Amino acid sequence: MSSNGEIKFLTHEVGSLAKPPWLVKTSAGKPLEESDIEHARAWGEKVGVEGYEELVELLRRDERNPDEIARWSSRYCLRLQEDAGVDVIWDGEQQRSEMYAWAIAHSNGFEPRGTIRSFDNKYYSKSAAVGPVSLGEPYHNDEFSFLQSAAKHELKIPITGAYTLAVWSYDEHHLPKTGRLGGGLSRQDEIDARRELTLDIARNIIRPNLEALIGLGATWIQIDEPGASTEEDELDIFVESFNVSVEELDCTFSTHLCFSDYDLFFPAIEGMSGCRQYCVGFANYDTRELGSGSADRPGYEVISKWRDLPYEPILGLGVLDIHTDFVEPPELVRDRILYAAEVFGDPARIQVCPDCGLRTRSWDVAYEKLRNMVEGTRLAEESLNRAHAGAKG
Amino acid sequence: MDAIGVDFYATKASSVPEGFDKTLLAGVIDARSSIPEDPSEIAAFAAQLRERGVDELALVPNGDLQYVSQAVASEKLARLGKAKTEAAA
Repeated sequence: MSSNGEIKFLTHEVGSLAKPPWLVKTSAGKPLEESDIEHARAWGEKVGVEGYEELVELLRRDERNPDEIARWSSRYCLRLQEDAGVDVIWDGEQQRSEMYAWAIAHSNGFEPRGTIRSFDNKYYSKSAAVGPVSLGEPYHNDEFSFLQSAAKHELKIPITGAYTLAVWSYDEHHLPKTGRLGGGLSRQDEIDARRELTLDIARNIIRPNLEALIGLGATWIQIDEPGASTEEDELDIFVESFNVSVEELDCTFSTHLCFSDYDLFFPAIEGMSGCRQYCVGFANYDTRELGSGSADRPGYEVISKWRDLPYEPILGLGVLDIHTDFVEPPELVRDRILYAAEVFGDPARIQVCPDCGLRTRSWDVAYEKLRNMVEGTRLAEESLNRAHAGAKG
Repeated sequence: MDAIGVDFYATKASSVPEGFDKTLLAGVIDARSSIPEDPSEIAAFAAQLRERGVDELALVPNGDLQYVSQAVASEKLARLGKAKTEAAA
């Protein structure tokens, strides 16, 4: 809601953006082609990156510092989102290796166990917990300080949550090395081990990171939990770890839940009262037809469950399908928001975001999607404010 | 049906019926864990299955090895080979 009483929806990003070819090749120690340098020039000009000519000059050198190039990439991603009109932004994780590996690499008590497939042709380096886990050093401080100095819009910091770090790792510390064969380890034993590892991560890795970021001035931290619903009978561990991570800390905390059967989260998250916003992807399940009635918006049917949570969190409404190059027309975004506003009956509890990070899309597609997300949000506001004014008149 | 596979990380040996008359594909390598198995433990477990009257016994992973890296899978399979040797001794 704006200061003049008109309905206003906040728009924000969710997480990752693709890394540009000039960063990917620099990080891999590969030479650049002229088209890579043109990419940097064209985007620098398009979204107004101050001093981008300096980057173009750097990219023409044989020796390039990957960290320096990554900071340039951060600047580009900030400007890309600002130019698209997004209210609250992050840099698309340009300075992180990846949301799991970055956290593990800066923590103690883990050892790498090689590369495994996560889905389709996507792979990640999976580690095992091999001893007591702890924080090596707060691993988002440098990134946050840099982005504070570079961003023109408000920042929201994403950090991978405790349960996701636990469930994406092997556990060689809490599980027995022998005696498991022949049904020697019950499901309850496995759950108990997961709880121990997850809460250790929450207390000893996530929480000190959060405290460090708050000390630097962070006001909104998004705890990413794409793995939250991996095991249906472990949802209470996810909830408990979130609460342990944030309790009594002075900051706004939200979470991001990835593609799942969202019904699974209820009633477990009724106890997650430290979470002020759930950013959730729905567009992936929805049709592309226009309309703001319940029959028009099958992907959003489940949102009433968030409406009914006793602590009344905000819903970060995913309106962009990040799995396709289809650019949602503003009118489609508008109708998704109008439906959600009707279901919630309180527009102040709705904010607007993509389903998930846009890293699998090109910058061209991501930019167009975000622009339309913002434009569709404005259309929804106009529609609601017009109806509101008509009702008062 | 000639053979039945059983995940013995979720099943007790006593669950196998006495006089089992098919080939038992005994899942004795945990494909979802990075913990390397102990060949002697597997060999002893194979002996338990034999004692229940299982004549045709094959020692196999309990699932697809795509959930571990190639290096971990190689180590697990090497240990499976040692377990077979011990079980046959």
